[in-house]
Amino acid sequence: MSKEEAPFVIFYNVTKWYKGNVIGLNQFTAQVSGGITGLVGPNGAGKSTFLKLATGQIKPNIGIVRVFNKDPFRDSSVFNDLGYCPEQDAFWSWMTGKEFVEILAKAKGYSKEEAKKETTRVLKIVSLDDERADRPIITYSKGMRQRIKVAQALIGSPSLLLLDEPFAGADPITRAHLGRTFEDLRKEGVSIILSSHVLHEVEQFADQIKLIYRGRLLAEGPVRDIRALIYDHPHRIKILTDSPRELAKYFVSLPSVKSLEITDPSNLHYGILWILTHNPAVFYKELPKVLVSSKVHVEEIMSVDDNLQAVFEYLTQ
Amino acid sequence: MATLKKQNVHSDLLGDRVIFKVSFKRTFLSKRGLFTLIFSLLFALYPFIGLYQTLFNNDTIFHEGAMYSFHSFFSFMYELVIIPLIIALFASYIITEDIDDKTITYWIVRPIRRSEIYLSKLLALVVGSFLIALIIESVNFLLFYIIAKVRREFIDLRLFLFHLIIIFIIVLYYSTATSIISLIFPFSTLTSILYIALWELATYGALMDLGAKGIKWIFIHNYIVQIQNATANIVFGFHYTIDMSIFSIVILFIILFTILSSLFIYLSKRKEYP
Repeated sequence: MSKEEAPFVIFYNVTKWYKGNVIGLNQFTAQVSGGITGLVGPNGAGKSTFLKLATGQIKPNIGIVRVFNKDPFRDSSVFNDLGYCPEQDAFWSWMTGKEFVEILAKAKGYSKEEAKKETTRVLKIVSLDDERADRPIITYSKGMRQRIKVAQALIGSPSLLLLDEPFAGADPITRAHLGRTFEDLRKEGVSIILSSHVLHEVEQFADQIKLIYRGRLLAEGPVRDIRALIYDHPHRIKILTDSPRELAKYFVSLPSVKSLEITDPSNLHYGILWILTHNPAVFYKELPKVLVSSKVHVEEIMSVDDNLQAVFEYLTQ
Repeated sequence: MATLKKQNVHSDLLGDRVIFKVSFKRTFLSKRGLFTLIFSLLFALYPFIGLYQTLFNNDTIFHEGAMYSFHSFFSFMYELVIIPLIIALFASYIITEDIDDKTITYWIVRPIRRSEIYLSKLLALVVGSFLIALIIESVNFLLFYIIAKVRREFIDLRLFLFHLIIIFIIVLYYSTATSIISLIFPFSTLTSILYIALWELATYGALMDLGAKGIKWIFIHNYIVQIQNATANIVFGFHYTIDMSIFSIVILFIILFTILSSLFIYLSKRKEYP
């Protein structure tokens, strides 16, 4: 097995529950090798539990967690080569961005001078190597806070980065910048595991996706396989129109449409046409042509199942 | 830019002291620390009243001399009441604050042993509490010293030193004991109740001279009082009865501190941060 293929993170039959019988992970088995791996699932799915177990913040009730073949809860040498960016905005309020990173560099074993150099290096990577680094963190925007958290994870050039919701609350510029940073790091051979509850946030640059739902690994594989899996599930499309019956005639002959249903809310001027499709990709391709040819006024089109929650519910049925 | 990789878990104690520094600054060099110090020093108004009476009314509440007044006042008010409560307050804060606001995560994901993280915090608590206690003692002793000078009374600087040693023992004991409680029960209400219970248990030992002598050995303040009495015997030539030799008491405290520290390290290694 080559170095790139060797799994950095191994979860074997891991179960973790919290007080009040809340399940974090349930008989979870997975391996993570090189590249960028996206952990995707709705809120409360178990993504953060996975990352907390991998970083030794908690220990499993059952099962085995190994990072670099070591137990991260008991062996802190794991963190020589691991960087972690937590989800929550937790900072020491009196510190500037530079002081924050510098102190954490010292905590990683750097001398005072080395810590200064390392701080400059990682702040440059996240584009905070200017006067903003000397401002107190409490004055930072959400995007800058995300960057400084990523910067501290990069201290020591770890070969494995664990990032918990790194895009959460970040503005589009920060998202784009962080995305580029992660891609650059992957090119340098850094393995990255990042969590998100939004698939499209991670699918642009993730090599592998792991879908987590209710503490279980629902599906894993390359991005296109996961995307296909999601598109394979039936989608319901809601069309708000003043002539739902007229419009339904145009859709009934389409092979991608499985069923049609019309509801007429009494208090609305418009009616609703519900369309169930087994092939959303084909359906969305045909949709504009049908609407144009029907010449029916359409007020609103909404894909009610075009979200991860619906996909997860479908996959767990 | 070339990067320097660190490949070893810190072999030096306390993770280059950064955890100690951050915990110390956050807990003691803050508004909370300053407020506590000022509040504690308010009790030092007692000798001010005595000073006022001495200077202007030619009367005094220090019937047995200023030095002895310092000894009795400081022994009870500060060493048995205020200083233990101050330590309990800071122990609760220094141990649980990082967990509450999740900044503990940044220490956990560094190559620093779990026990080291908490030993750093414990050391910050010991140093900070001792410094506060030292300031309190210095202010008090200075005031009583001035009164003794004005009244041309007997002065013995050893009294300051002896009480400094007593303070040190109290700080070591209460820091470890209350930190253990904070580690086990990271909920402020519960820990507050347990602190008061711990303190009351300790204090009963000091007040149990007249009754229940059979069980007073289990109360920690009993031993503190023994050292205080031994101090009075040495400085003032009193003849208080001492149940145990000072050497035995010191050995007892060392054993107690070792047991508590070991328990503290054991618990910190098993601590989770959900």
